[in-house]
Amino acid sequence: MKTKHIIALVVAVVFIAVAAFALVDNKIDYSDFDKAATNGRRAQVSGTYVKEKGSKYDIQSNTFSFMMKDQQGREMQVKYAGVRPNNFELAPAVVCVGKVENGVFVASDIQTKCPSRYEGSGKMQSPNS
Amino acid sequence: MLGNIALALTFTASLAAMVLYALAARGRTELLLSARRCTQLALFGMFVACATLLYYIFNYHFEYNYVYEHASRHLSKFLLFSTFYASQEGSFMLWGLWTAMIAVFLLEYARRQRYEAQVMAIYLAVLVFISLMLLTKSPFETIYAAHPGEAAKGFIPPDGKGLNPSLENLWIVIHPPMLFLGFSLLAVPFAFALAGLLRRDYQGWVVTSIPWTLGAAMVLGFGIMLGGFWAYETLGWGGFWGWDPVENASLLPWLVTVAAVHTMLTQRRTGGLIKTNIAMTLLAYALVLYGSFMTRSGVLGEASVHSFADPGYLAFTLLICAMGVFILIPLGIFIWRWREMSGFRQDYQILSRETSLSIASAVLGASALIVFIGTSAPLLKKKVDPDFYTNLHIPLVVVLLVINGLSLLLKWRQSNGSEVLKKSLSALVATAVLTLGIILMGMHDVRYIAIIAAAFFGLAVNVQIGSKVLRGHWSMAYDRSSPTRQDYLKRLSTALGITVALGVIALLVLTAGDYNLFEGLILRGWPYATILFAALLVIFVIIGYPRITLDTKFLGAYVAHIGVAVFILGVVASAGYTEREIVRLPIHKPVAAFGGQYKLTFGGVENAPNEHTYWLVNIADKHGYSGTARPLTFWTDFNQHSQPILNPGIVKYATRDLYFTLNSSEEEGGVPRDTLGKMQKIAMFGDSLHIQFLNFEFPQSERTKMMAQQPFHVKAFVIANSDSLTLGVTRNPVTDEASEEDVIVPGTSYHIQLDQLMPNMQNPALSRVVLRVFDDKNPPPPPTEVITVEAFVKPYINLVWIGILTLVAGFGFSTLRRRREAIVAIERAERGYEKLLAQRHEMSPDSEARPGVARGTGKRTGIRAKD
Repeated sequence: MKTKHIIALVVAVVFIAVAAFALVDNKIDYSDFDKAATNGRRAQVSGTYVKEKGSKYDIQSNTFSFMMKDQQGREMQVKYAGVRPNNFELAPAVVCVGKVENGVFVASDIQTKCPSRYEGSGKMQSPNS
Repeated sequence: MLGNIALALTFTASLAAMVLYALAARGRTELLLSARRCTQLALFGMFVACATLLYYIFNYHFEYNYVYEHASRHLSKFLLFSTFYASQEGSFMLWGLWTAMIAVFLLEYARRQRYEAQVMAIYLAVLVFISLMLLTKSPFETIYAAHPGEAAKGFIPPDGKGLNPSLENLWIVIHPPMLFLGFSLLAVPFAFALAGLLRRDYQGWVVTSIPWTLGAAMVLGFGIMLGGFWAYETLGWGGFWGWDPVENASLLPWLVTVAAVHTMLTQRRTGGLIKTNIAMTLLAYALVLYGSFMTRSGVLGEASVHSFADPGYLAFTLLICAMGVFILIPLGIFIWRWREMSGFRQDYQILSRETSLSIASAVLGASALIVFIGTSAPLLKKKVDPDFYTNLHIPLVVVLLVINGLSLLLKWRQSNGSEVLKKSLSALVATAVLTLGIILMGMHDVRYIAIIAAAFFGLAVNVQIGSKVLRGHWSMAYDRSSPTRQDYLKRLSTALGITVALGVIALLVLTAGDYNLFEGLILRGWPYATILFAALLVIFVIIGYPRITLDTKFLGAYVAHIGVAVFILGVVASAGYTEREIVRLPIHKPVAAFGGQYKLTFGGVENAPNEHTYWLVNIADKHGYSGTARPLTFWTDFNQHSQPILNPGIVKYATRDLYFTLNSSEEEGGVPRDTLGKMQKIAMFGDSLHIQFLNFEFPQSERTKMMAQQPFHVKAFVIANSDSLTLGVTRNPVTDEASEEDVIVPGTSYHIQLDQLMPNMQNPALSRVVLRVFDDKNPPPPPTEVITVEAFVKPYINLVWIGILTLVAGFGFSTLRRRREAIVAIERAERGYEKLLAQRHEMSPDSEARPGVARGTGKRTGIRAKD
């Protein structure tokens, strides 16, 4: 084993260690509101927008908030620093990435799943609509 | 019907061609001709299938499910064209078309390289897979077959669903075709590597394949950039790359390919890194398939905004099988040949170009690994934060940029340390000065300073060394022994003097002598500044006659490396130093933003066809008006008009972009509105007006009108002071327009109007009214429109685009050079072989000539063209 091999090995090991650390640090679990509230970690929660309770965009604070129901049926308020995402009202599912803070899910990212984004929904609209 | 027949033809012909080529590779060379015909037939089938689909799209044949799902009568011709590949089936069509088209060119090239049978047999396997996929999930499925029970046989919908509005712009016309051309091109090095492995030609395949690898890197890189530019121009979140799994899926094969380019060039020179090159070339294509699996199988369902939906069980299985075949079989052969390839052990010196190129490849490989981990996380129901990518890339990018410059200072085999230091001195000084400059300008983040310093170094070395490719009188000016040097220098300096004088005069005239306007000229008038500069350059060239010629042969690496450094500078500046501000803009009222750097004025709206509205944001810098941003909102049937689609408005300057997204628009001021419950009383204007809401009238006849979407009339009865008044309003439920009856409270100057009635039919006591009340003597201010925009200043974002275009151009130059070399190499090898045959013939006249090379089975080790 020559010196340069050792150097290469050390660099590789250090890099892998850093990468592993970064991975653990930046990992986001697919989760639900209850789990996210208990462990306080960053999580990705998917669910539906509770239309009846409405949504609000506050201009002063640039915050968009709405009620979301996760797949376990638990409802929680979601706050997001930004405007209402495209296709929000229609999206059959909403995916939020963020953290639970004081009983409110503070989202850093909201994705709306529109099944027809690229692909047809597979459902026909009724021919006369 | 025709379409499916054409697809079946492609499948059959490509399968036949593959088998025939495989047989030819085993010695039955007489089959080559029919194999070629079958390949051409496969392309013909693909052409017919694509033409059929386009015909259906352009003629609105909505009885085909694919056309119904993606096309629509309101789309322009360009967008209609792009619905061709807007979705799963169509993008496979595009992929298949490119693959089939490349096959015909590859056939010719491989034939000249004596590689035809093996390479084509492997390459055509890809086309077989794609056409099989297309037969499984055909774009020619009719709507009644796709939706049994929902649509009657023979039913033709009047219109299609149309494209997703976020895809509705011209970038869709060019980005996906580029990307798929890149993916298709990557199958070529894959085929060469596998063929080389099978033929035990561990050296020759590299020379043959390099131009294709470079070409694929060029096209794919360009395609990825177009995607980023598209996102930046239309999505409105202000960035061009989000580490989305779908973006990553195209980046992964590119990173590995670029890494492979560097180690392939090393092998070409030193003969080493045999296993690395084969492994990386095979891996690059495996990643293309992995990426299409990830994006098309539905596994990214929750992780990505733009993955395709689940394609169905059959297609899913086929995708898995293709991955298995194209990954496991090459892997098996690779392991089988492992021992044979291990023969060429070479020791590289630390200070040598081969070592630095290997490190560069390793760094690119590490980058690919990071992206791979992040992209694959959704398979384990996990996801990573974008920080994961950016933080880990910072050290990698620094190393990469240092090597970007350093590798060009190093010689092959071994370099002398002090000599390298001496050569890099000017670049180091330039780096130190520039870095100090940016620190003094107020940059403090150590990470960014490290990246920028490394980028400056790479840039300086490449410009310095790369400028040697400029020949002609240019080099004469440096050559002290040239007899005409003095004359030439005199001529150059005269030309320079005249040009500079003209430039100064032009500047003075253009800015009317106001030196404050110079910055403005550069910032805003940069198209003019560029024209002026170009004109001056032409004058200089005409007078000075410097006759600079470019030696394009060596240009590729320098151009590409300069591109990388420029690109990274642009990324750091735009990603690290973007300023963001939320600004409220009342109409026609200038508002200072970004610490007074800019004055923004909302100048009203501009309506365009198809419910498109542009919101004009006028920008003024310290020199006055400098441009208008036009963020766009539009309504579309695609989401049933539930909410508008937003596109940003961007004003580009030479050194920065101003980027605006509309957050909201509302009306402010106007007549105040008051809401009253039934029997509720309200006192206004300092107790001089009392209003009480008594009752309302909303008869059945009017309710019927409302249900039928016709204008309807409602009444409210109020007591104002002591007078009973009847207020009425007629409302059009379609346009939401209302005409309120204006009622004056007798004996006063107060006006009351019924703005809205909110009746509660179950419990009339809970009904409410909204009233508009104002005093004629003291009228309220007219209503003003106010918009809220999210504004970004993005410094030097143009460097991102310029950098990538330069990088792409560099790949282009290299592709041409290596293609020439590959042709020269094979010609030289053949001449050598003929000579060898002739010699043998002389020695033993009755020995048989081996037809090895001509048939493409001979070894071609030892062919190595000189750099």
